[in-house]
Amino acid sequence: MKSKLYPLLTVLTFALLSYGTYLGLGNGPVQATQSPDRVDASPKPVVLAVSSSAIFKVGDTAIIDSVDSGVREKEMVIAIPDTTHVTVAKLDHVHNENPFAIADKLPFAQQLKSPAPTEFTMGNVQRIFYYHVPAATCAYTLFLVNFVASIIFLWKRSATADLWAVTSAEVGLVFATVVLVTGPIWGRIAWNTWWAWEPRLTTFLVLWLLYVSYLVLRRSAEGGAGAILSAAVAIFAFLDVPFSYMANRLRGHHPPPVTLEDPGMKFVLMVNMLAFLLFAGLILWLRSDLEKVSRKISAAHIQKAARGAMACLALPAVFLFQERQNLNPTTFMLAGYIATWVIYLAYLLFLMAKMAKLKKEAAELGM
Amino acid sequence: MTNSLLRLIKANLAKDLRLEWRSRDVFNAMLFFALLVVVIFSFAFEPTTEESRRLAGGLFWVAFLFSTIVALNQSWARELRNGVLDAYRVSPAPAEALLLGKVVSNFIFVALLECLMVPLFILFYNLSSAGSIWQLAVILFLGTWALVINGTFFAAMSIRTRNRELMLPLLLLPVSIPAVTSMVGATTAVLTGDGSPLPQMKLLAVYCVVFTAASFALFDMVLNAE
Repeated sequence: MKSKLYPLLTVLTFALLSYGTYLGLGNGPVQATQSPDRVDASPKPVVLAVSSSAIFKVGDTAIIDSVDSGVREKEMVIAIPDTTHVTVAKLDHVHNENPFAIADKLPFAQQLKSPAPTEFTMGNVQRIFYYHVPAATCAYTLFLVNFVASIIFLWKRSATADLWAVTSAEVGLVFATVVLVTGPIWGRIAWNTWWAWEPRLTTFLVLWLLYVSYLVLRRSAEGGAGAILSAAVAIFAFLDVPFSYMANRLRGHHPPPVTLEDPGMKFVLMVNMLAFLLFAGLILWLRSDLEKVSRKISAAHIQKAARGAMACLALPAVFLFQERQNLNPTTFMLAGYIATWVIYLAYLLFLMAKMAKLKKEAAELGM
Repeated sequence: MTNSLLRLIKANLAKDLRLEWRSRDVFNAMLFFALLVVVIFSFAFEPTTEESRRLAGGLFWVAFLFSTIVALNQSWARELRNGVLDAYRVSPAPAEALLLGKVVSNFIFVALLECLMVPLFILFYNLSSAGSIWQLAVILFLGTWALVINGTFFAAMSIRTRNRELMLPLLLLPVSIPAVTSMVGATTAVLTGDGSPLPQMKLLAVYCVVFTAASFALFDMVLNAE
């Protein structure tokens, strides 16, 4: 807890988080449009039909991106004949998917200042994406850390590996809770339902349940035996994930996944991804320091993130039963952002309380 | 070496079967529990023949999942009471023999239970299968193995914890969700005749192999965890 890197990393993380949130919430210029054309490669100028040519200027670079086939190229815009057509200098590849995306490439300096544009069909609620996806990435990363640390623990029986296993599972569960809370808020608008038994959702829910059971076991069996038993559970939990995904894929419900076409959106997502990964690392570090101190104090006990998470989930459940139409995407977006920070801050407060308590205990013991 | 391992497994299995034959407390509790679940579900849903084909797969496996949990908790609790686990730890016999003996004896109990419950299910729910009976038999075998292998492993784990019996469902149910999804899916596919149960059955088979391997690899550590 005395490391000098802490303040520096904390300031950096929160600065990046605020910047990412600003980019996510602000209303930026739309950079992408769609073309219904099927075009061949050509060394001569090609006229492309687009939904709107307003985003382009002559001399800009257009990014032509066929998502399904993964073909992506950058070409110069040489003319704009009317509001629904754009002429590019040449085409290196065939784009025969219907429709494919064409985007305007902003210079990097300008990109840094441009917040994410509002999505056409989903509206503001799509902005939850910038919190939801990084939280999922962090959760997966932390669970991977837990798996690796558990194996190292079983192999070498090192107390450090066990410490990282338990802290990464707990912090991972906090991020997984954010994913499970923000997902339905977005889904209510985008899919018109709070929850769909879709493979990715179901897998994530099962993953969440598995790590809750890991932490419950951790609490129920303390000491050396508890560490070994929970390491075994961690391995079972990790093995379970592919089966969970496959079993639900076979059940058949499969709403289309969302892909980001707009380069502005991608950039904002990357900023947030970096910010939240740093944030996860910071919390993990803080949590493992606490764990170290708490292990030194013999009366230490491991608290669960799950308990707070359950309370957070139970309260909004009251609203879930209301059948309402004409939902406002902006309200839902704000709900997603607020819910995310309620969970993160609740966890941070919990850690602070734990730290204060440990300090008091340490003082009493004269450590 | 293999010979002695086989003999150990046989000795463990024979001991479990003899204990159960003389007391019959686990099997009777399990049978009555499963019967109650079937009757209560039948009251709760009052299904017609068409509906029951769709529902039966789910009800059937949920009934077995819960009664398996009843049986598994008992099977290790008995060993703990009599100090068998401590004795086993100091003996040179491999832990895997104990696990396999336990798994096979539990498998026999649950399979017997299924043989008794399937006719009752058919009777109460007016069931008639649209698909092949042989496929159902294979699904029953794989599904029971999946429940029993994980269940026996986690039961051995849960008796080492502070809240013993309470811990087993908390550990077993999340890990078993994919297996339950595929057994219910496969059973429903056979009963209703909609689609092929084969992909689900293959997945279930792979699940059985992977988790059997994991259980055997980790059991020694669980038994000796201090």
